[in-house]
Amino acid sequence: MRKGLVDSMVLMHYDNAHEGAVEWWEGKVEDGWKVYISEVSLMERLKGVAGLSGSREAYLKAFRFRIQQMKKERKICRILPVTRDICRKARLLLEQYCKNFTPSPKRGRMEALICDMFIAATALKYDLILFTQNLKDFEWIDALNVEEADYEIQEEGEAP
Amino acid sequence: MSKGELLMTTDEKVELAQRIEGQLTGIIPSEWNKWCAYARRFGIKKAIQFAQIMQNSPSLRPGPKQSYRTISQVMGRFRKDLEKLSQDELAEVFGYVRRFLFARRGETHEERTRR
Repeated sequence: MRKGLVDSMVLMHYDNAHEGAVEWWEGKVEDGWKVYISEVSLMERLKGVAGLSGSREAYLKAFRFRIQQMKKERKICRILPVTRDICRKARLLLEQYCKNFTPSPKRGRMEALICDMFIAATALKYDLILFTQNLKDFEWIDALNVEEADYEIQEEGEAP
Repeated sequence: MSKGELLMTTDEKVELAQRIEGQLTGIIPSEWNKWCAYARRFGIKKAIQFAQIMQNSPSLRPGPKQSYRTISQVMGRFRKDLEKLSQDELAEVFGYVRRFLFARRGETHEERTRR
């Protein structure tokens, strides 16, 4: 059985009804992959809820429902927690990154990097292939098995 | 309430659309649009049956199959509510669902600024 962890961006694209992401994810499940996500990705997905103009409770309830549905239908095999081991590994990875690279000064870059390290550490802990659209964010980690989630995001130009 | 007897208010239509949209998991908007066109032409019952057939169709790719699986489950739950609506009201509710589906993208800041 092939097992993979999808990163936060792929989960966002799927949940946001991007055709390429839905097609990619469903194809993986149909091909017999066990797809995992990290608790960190769920938290990242909630970024922006505090800025919603409508009912935040309704939004959160709907999101929780969709995640439960994905678990029920085995689109998500398991949501992996952040354990002490994963925390330690993530910190070591971040140290390694800081020794060798200079993060972009863009706002939120360091925050996103910390989330990425938790996700990478989770994939390492459970020996999962990490699927991402941002290979360069992870490919410097020698022990990590990273593959590109190879789909395109097209903006349909939908007028609300 | 029977068709045309008592019209839903806009708020009620928006609320119904939000409840529907919130449950749409792994949906492709273009498949949703196709299904809506089918439902408006042939009615909700037949459209749900159509989605049930399509969800197992070997000729469809995994994405559209998932879309029809979701549609058949979710719209099955809302069938009674939707069957009470007139054609115009139905079109309006479907339109709101589509808008909410696309609004998800903006609301959740999905494109991280770093990328």
